[in-house]
Amino acid sequence: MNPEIFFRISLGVTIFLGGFVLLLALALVLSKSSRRLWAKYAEKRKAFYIPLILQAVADESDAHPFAILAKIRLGDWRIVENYLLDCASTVSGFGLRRLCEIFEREGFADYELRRLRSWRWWVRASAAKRLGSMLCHKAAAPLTVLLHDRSLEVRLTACWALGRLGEIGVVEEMLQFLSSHSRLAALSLANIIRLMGERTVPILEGLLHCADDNVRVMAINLLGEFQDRGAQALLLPHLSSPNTEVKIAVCRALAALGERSVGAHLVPLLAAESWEIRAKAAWALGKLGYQESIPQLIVSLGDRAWWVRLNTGEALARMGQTGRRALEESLSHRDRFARDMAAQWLDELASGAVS
Amino acid sequence: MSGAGAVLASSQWAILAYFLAMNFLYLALFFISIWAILRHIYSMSYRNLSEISKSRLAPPISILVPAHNEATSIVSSVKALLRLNYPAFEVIVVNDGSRDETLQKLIAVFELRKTKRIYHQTIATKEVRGIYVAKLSSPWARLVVLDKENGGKADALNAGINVSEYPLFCSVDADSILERDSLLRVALPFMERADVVGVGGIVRIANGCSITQGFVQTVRLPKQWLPCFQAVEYLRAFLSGRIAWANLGSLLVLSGAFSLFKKATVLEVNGYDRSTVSEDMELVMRLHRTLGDQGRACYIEFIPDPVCWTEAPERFKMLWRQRDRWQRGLGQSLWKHLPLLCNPRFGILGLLATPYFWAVEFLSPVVEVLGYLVFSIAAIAGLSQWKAFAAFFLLAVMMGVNLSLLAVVLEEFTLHRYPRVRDLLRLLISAVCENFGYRQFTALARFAGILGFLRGRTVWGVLERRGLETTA
Repeated sequence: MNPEIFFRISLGVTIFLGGFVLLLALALVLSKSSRRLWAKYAEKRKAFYIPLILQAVADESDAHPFAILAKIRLGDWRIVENYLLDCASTVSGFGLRRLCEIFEREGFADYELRRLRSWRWWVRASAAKRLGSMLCHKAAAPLTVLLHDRSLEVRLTACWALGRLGEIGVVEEMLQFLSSHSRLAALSLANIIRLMGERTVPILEGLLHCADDNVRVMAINLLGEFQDRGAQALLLPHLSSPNTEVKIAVCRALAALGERSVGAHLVPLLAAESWEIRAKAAWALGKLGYQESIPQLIVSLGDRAWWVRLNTGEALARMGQTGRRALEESLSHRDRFARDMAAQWLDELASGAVS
Repeated sequence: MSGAGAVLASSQWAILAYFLAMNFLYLALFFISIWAILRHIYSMSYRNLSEISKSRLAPPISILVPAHNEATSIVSSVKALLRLNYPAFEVIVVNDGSRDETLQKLIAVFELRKTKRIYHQTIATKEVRGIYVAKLSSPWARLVVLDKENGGKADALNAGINVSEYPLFCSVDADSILERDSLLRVALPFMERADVVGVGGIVRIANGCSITQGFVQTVRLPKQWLPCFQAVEYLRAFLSGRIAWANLGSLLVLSGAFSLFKKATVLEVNGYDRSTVSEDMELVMRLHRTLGDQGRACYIEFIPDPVCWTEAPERFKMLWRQRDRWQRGLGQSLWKHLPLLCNPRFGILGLLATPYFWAVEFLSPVVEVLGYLVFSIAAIAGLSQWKAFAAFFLLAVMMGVNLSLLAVVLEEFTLHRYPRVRDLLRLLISAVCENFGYRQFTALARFAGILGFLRGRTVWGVLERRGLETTA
């Protein structure tokens, strides 16, 4: 074989990769130095714009309405916009309102609305974030459209922006488009709805009838978090749902609502087929302190599933003196596993690990 | 040409062809990684970590810390773990039959008491002597210490899984240091997709960094060259190979120093295997194989930013032992899961990843050592043309230099964890120098590992460590 071929290929590849590394290194140096230069320039220009912006914020008369734009040098657009965003994250009330007005009147909002149509997802996401931060209400409709965006990041950011705008009308749409996507989306969505507050309760109650189990689970969890006592009656029928997640969510929500009387509805779940439901029902009964369930809990202490036994032991330990006595009696339970679990929870009680 | 000469000549071509193919593979993996890292960084800029850190919907995590004779560092490690930023987690330290004061120190510092908790042996392990917990009112309430008979790291991890409460578990080495937000970041893929089974994070060299109270305060490169070379090597391995393979859905290894798994799935495959010295890789391969056999998806993700800092060996002897063990572990895992090799049922994993691990990761030390031998003999015997020798040098050494430099530049472009220009220059110098001597040394150690694997050696080997708190 001719070594020439190998030599040429290896030389070519080495030179190509070496050149590529060199180019990357050069790009790195250039980008770093240009960033540093830009940061210096931005700092200097910001010092020039801050008094103008603060003056515009403080001036209620609108006598010289936001003449900032006239003074913006070509290229300073982003510096001013970033400063407005920074300010908006630190102020509230009147100051925030004025900053948002400046944002809209000086054309920043229109610019960001145009960016919402970009083909690059990160530009759309960034625009949505900026519009939400600056409480730009005229962006509500295009942001709602973005709930259907192909990028999850954009959908999440649009959702967050709509939440910040307090757009209650789109809660249902938000839930339907995001709750089934991922836990992360659900988590974000839950925070957004929490941000909107109790105003969303009627919508969440309406969503309990939604056919999508994911939406129902989220609505149930949120109703539990909002401590909406009125939702209790609406939640109870879902204890007979065929979906395990729904039943677990209802157990959790009812425990959060803290109404002891619902314990009677939870007791039958101790005999459910799924161990997850049995474990959650036992946990919820303990949280509610529903002492009437002690006989059934003693039976569950000998459950075949370890998690059910563990939660049952904890539930009994949470039921004060009556629960403690039940645990002591269970030390002579016919089931060895039940005896062990009773001993474990009596030990936890003695050490103060259970309140 | 004599028979020996002909063999020598044809082995030269074979070695050159091997190196050429290997470098093309490395390059392809690098380009996939660059794209994946940039995409990850863009995505992360729209993730609100503080939102997750406050949420009750974040999946709770059990952190498992196997500890065997870790008395010098265990207290500070556990304190640091308990201060991680995550909404719901517990720390389970498994004292794996330590002969030093590991358990006594834990009991004394964290005011632990022995409980009557039942040890539920879902996975069979060595006998558990006791379960210790802190008082509920103490700041260490999330700490559980399990004391058991010595059974090795895999056995300790299995015991930790048995007592863990939460649906995800994170294995962490007792002498490693996690960044405060690392759990938040590593748990993200589990929240994004339901079919994620394991997630790994990047491991970096802590030597040289200033470390106080169990956290890295300032990131610096070590003064010694040996750990510096390892820092470059880690960058190359994590920023190219692992990210690229994870992107192709075919990652075969997650570092045992820091990886997060879905407990239910790991229980289905019966936990870690106690018979191998590379339990982390074996578990990942077994998960792929078992779930693949059942026609289920098995996503093993790797993300570049959750950082775990670990102490690199500063002596050649320790480095030799480490690489020898890694290579034996690699061989054991690959051999045990031989049916994955070239198996079209496993898609890219069977047709690309497993052959790559066999041909490149496992066999490269053999070819490399053989290459140096063959070309040296040929040069001495006057049987090698200078162009063949130059091609070998370019492919074996200069391409290595280029790839190391690329890793360093990529790190600086994207993650930028070394803030000082001096450190960056040192990394660049290391990227060049590690190809002259260090790389050949590790190739030899790995070659010895292959021989050990063929002889069936399963000794873990003791690695001496100085302790991270004092490396500042």
